[in-house]
Amino acid sequence: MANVMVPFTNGKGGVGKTALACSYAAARAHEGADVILADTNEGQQTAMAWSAVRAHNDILPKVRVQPANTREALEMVGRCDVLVVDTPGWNDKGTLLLARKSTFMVIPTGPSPTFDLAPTVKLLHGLRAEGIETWRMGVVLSRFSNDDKIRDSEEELARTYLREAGQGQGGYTVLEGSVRNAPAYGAGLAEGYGLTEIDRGRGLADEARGMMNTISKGVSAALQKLMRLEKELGAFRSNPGKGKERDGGRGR
Amino acid sequence: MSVKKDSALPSRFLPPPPPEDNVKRALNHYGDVRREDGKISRKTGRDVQFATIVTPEFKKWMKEEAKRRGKKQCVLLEDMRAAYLKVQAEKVR
Ligand SMILES: Nc1ncnc2c1ncn2[C@@H]1O[C@H](COP(=O)(O)OP(=O)(O)OP(=O)(O)O)[C@@H](O)[C@H]1O
Ligand SMILES: [Mg+2]
Repeated sequence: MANVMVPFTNGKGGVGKTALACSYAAARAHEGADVILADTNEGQQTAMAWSAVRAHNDILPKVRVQPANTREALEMVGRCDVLVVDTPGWNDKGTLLLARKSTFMVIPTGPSPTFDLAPTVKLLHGLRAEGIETWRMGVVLSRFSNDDKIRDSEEELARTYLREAGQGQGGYTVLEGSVRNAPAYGAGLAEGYGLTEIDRGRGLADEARGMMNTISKGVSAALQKLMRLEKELGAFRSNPGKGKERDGGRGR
Repeated sequence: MSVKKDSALPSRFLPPPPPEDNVKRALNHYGDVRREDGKISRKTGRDVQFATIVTPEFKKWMKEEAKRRGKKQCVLLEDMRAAYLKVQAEKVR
């Protein structure tokens, strides 16, 4: 399996970065992937706390969580199949650094146009301006209403908002579905469970699994694109004269 | 670019911020600035060396005054700037 790095980022706090990062790490570990979750939120270390309570409750599979600064997190690439990075509730140069080196950056956002979507759009514009391709960033609608009807209208509004924000920017990627803000999720997370491990009879785990699969699809698609670009770049470097060959998967 | 007429958003919300408003600013706006070497520079954004030549007495005073007030010397300097600007502004008037 290839080495991928998947940071969960949004300078807007409390949108579910840690919840989703931990859940994604656990979901990939369930598939048998070798996963490390790097917790770069040195102030809070909530991913660390989640893993500690997970161990305390003997929840399997174990998820390796390590505290790290941005540089250390970057150095972990290659030490595992899937490097998940939980980031703090602010944006800085580290955000950009992670974005540059990441396979696919997950950007969770809440439903409020004013308090969640506007700052999320600022981050997207900023990353875009720094040259991060839109297919390497996926917005996840997170902590949307637990009430189906309200959630539908929140989703519609958020998608409209993000679509309009992406006009002229190549269109931002908004992943399918949304994660509801369910009390059972909150309770389970606090005990060290990932969202896909929390059910309580309401199909919550299935719903979460859907989102995790969607994230994985985004990661795989981005990885393939990156590998293809790298190959083209390699071919160009070794033979700059005749750049344009599309060889459909010839080895290097 | 002001409010777009063709927006499908309910009019009670403002349209999404346009990119030209904040290009790149979103990424160095607040919080720690972590550099590539992993060092965390000052949260306050005070990360530029400020060196000058002063008398030993002046240096000693700065150090002791800052300590006495429980402030960093850079904060004391900023206090001094604020006081200076206040006096200057009064003089100009
Ligand atoms: N889908 C959800 N349903 C219910 N509660 C949730 C959900 N996602 C997150 N929470 C809870 O909401 C709170 C904030 O979530 P979380 O810590 O994941 O956000 P964050 O983006 O990592 O915040 P920060 O910016 O502070 O790091 C936590 O108490 C968490 O357990
Ligand atoms: Mg967090």
